[in-house]
Amino acid sequence: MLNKKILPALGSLLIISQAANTQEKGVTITAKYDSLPRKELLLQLEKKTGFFFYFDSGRLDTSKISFQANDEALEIVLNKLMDGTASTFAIDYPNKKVYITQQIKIQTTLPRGFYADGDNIAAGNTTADSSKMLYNHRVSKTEQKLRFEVGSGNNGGKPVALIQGIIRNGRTGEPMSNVSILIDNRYSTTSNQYGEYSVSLPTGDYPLSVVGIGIRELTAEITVHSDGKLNIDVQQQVPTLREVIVSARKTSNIRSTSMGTAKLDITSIKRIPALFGETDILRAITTLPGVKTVGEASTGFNVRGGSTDQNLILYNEGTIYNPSHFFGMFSAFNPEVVKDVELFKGTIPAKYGGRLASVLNVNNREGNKKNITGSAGIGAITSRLQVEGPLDKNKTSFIAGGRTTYANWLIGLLPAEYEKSRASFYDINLGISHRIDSSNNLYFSGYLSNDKFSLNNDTTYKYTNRNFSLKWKRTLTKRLQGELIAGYDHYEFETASLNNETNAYSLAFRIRQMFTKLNFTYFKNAQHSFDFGISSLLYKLDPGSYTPGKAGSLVVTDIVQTEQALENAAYFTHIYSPTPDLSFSTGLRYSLYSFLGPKQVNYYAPGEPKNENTLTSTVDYKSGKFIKTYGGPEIRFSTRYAFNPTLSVKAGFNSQRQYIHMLSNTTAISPTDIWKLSDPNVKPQRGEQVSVGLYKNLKSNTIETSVEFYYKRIHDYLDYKPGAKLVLNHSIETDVISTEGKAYGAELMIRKTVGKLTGWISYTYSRVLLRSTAQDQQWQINNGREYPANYDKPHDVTLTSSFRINHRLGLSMNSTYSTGRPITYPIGRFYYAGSARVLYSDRNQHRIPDYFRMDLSVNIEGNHKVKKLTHNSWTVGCYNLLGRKNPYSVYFVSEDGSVNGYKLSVFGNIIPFINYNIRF
Amino acid sequence: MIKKLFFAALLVVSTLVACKEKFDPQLPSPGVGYLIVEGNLNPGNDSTVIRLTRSYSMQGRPLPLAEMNATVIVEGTDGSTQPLLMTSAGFYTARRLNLSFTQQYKVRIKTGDGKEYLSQLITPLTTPSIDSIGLKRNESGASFYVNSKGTENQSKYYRWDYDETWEINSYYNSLLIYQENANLVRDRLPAEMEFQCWKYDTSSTILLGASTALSANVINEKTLLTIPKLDERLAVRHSLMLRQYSLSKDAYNFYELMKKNTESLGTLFDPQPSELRGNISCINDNNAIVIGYITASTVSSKRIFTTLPDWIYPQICELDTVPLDSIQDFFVGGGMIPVLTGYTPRGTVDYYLASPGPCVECTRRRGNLARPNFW
Repeated sequence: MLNKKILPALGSLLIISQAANTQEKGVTITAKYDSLPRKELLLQLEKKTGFFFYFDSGRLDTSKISFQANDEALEIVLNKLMDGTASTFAIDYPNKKVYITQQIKIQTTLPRGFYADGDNIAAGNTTADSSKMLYNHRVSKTEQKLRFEVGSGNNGGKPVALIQGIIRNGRTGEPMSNVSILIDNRYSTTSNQYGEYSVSLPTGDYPLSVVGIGIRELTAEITVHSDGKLNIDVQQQVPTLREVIVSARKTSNIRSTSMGTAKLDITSIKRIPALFGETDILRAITTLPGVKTVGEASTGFNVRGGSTDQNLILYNEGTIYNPSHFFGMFSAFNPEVVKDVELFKGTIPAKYGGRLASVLNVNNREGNKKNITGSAGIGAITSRLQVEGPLDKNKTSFIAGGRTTYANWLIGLLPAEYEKSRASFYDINLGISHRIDSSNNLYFSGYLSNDKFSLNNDTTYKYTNRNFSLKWKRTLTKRLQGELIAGYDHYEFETASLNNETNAYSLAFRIRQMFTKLNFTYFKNAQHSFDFGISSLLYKLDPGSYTPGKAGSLVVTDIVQTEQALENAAYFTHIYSPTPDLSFSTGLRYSLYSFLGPKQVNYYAPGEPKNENTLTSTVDYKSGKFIKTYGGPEIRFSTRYAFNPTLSVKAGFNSQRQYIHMLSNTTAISPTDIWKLSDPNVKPQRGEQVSVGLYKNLKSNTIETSVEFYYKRIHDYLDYKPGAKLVLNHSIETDVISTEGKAYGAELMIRKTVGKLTGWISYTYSRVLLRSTAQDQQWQINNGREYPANYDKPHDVTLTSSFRINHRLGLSMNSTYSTGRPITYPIGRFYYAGSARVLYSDRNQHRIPDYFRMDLSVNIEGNHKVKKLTHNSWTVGCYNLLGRKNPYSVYFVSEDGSVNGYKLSVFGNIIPFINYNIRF
Repeated sequence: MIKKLFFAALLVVSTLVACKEKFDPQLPSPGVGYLIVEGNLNPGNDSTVIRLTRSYSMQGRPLPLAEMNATVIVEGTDGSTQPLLMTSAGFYTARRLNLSFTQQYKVRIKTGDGKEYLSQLITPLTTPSIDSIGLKRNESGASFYVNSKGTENQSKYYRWDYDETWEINSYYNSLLIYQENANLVRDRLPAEMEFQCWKYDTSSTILLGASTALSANVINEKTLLTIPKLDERLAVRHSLMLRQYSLSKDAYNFYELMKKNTESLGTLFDPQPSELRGNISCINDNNAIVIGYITASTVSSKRIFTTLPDWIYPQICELDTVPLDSIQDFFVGGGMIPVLTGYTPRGTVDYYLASPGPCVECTRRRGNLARPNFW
């Protein structure tokens, strides 16, 4: 439908001014209709108002409609009624007549100053700005089509015009991202996260269609005269209305140059059956091809053979270092405020850098700009609340969300000796968006998550993420947009044990970073567009402080010196489409990283293994001193050729650099793993990836299929000497073994986005092999031969599907199979220190048994009356429906003198769950 | 500390859903026949024992194969050489080495297959004496802990092992015994009394401690072993003989890695198991694998005795009546053992009151009748 604000001005502008003049606004209607055909409604209105309605019933939209009016003016009511249809209307107040027409609008009177006002005819139209362009002219309607006109007829003879605008939710005013705008099947674009789009095309008449997830498809005719703005308000899909085919990103997978990207909106994430019914964004991500985890209780995920620390997790621009709650069981993002999640695993836009494997972009919604709304939910583990609404109507809105747990009941199930243990977590979100004017927007985002666990009042463990960012977006010219972002990220954890007088301690680790980013996009024309910008990131890392836990403790304070570094980058991307079928995206990012003082740095004899004996000098650097600078170009190239609108081939090359590393020598990433900045002794990690893909859409773009291949190399990846102590290590470089890696694989995916049955099936073949290149031969893992990484799981099949039985009942199923992860099995036994013990040799030469799991959930919605005060829904389901004891690990321990082997399953039973959600 | 926490996290989950089951993946065992060397050179007046064994297969229950016919020599930087002689299968012993704390020593091992192994240089350490051993009780049982205090110039790394001895008493102190060959019940001879026995055990976990994080060389309340409630060991009287060793940093790392590899697994965040070597290598065959760390330190030891009168050790020991005509059915094989005699009013034996073997004879509970010399 058209923007409600514009519609009165355009559809019935003349009448409104008339109505205002003649003080006829008194004609108001209070009524409520459920599922009536439009014809019936008009007849009802006729009765109520006493106006005579002229219309051709054969030409009316035949769909049924529900609506409610509460003391609303007739023209408002009619506007609502005709929303999104091909009909328009005119009201003749003096004669009490209403004309419903399709192509020609009846003019009941001549408007005052119509021509004098020139372009700015939309008196009171809040979206119009002062520029002298024609906006959103809905001049006439052909049958069953809306008609837009962009630009003025007098275009100076330019053959190509640029259309820009925003796609918004007609009800809430919220920008709609990832909506496809397809003009004549030849010119297409997708709205960005702010709902903005721009497209360049030759002037002329075209068919236009606007499609996206959860919105009603809109088709119209468009006449393009010259450059102009076209804001389109789309209607959310209201299920009780006529059958609407919602097609997601219909052709964007074919059209865009990016490959190896995946986007999930929160609706589809919520459909995936989740552990304990807690909608989990990270677990949803692991259903995508190329994304794996070491096991069910591990923090983080592995993308295309990358380790967990090689993923950049951005939450509203801020970096999240620990994205999980409760030892990796649940992800730390509140599903009630998240809008969508975007994962780049192949071609990573030049805008992003600093990690080798992937970028996960989690975006929150903007608050509802029109009404206060919210939702709340109760599940087995957490309760959630989310409220959003306008602060200043149509200008400023907020969205706030919070979750808290009552996982302490879990502790109640423990043996009595653990009864004093406590576990809790919470997270809080706040987002504010403010529209300064039509070309300036401000966004604030704040996030706080906190986890706490205590064991028998003795050892306590807690960690916290704190992030906030401020973004100013400005449309500089109609082709140039810029955004300036500044923010602060904070992650820390602390363990403390107080029971033993002498040994009471507290151990803390902290990362703080401040960043600014300046991004521009310049849209020159259909052939050329550019992204460019600069960014600066200041790291401050406290690698560990060990302090007495209380008075009387003999613990000596041990603080590993703070590390700081500055990472600057500049990037430039040129997107070039010589023809609509062929396009290139050529990006270059140059990152420059400096390790800064104050810091004491050890230097070792060059070419020798780093250890106490080869230490040559220790240099004390002053504050602010640039100790070591690394830098280099990163290439982000991709190209696409579309054979036809449903088949395309893409290829890309990517290189990356990473300056911060997680130190971990456990098989699964544990939440107490610390991070380390690159310094003169620890080189940055580097990676390169080539990938090719073939994309084919079937059945009028409702089924997307793709196959992608990649090959990747990883340099200077970090591994550690056996038994190395990573925490509070003042010279970690002596325990580091540098490692080279390679990864390759193929990813197949079939995705159905439309219809009663939706979902995807993916198959991934992938390998990741590491090779130790320690200078000191005795430390070479597997004698310098290649060995599979812990997360090397060659085969992986995932089916995620949901079936909508009717509007109130949906069924979702998720099943996944994967090869067991590699494991180091013992090769023999020996007797030592009073017990039989096992002997290990080569790393990761065996595998734990394969993994298979099936989950099911049923979603039951309350009724869908649009004006109902609250909407509620129930989700019930089962995680691990088959109750399979999927192994998490296999291990051997010496117990009472002999060796026993065990298989450990984290979720070895059927886990039923129930969740109640309410929206208001 | 952190590990403990994860174990608890695992517990939280496991109580809910996780499960652990025995698993035998039937692995091939290529790591058989590696030389395993374990021992501490005692510089003082006490004896030194070095144990040589071979690694064995994952399958079955073979005993560690002792390495016989080896020659073991301790060589000092002062040119001294002292042999260790095999006193029992795989144990090579010297009465007294009298090592100097200002010298360094190497151990040279020649095995029967012609391979020669040599340790790195080892500096003898003096171990601080054990301060005290204490006992802490809570609902779940009792734990022994050690306190120790060293000087600043002594090593800050510690290892302990211990021997446990405990007395067990039969539920009934029977004065009767069934003589099978004569099918009769008679009085026990003094040598046949089975009321009081002793049992023995040795530590089977690696016990390590370090005071490196503290301002003083102090070990405070390091838990040695925990005896769960209702355990037999504290039912009568218990003795703990604790030995303390100083370790070099390297030796500590060796033991810690062995502990990580073989004892601390099964949590959600297991360390990556890794190869373990030590301070010995084969000097005439690069492919011969040897595992072990020979340390050199004096040994501090301390024995404590514990009696807990309120410790509960439940035994179900009922007395059954065994008529005279069925003593053969009950008493042959020792299923039941007579405790008391029931007499007729005329004073003849009418029946016996008997109880199951373990209630009457402490050897049936694998007890040892010989009183230890320190008891």
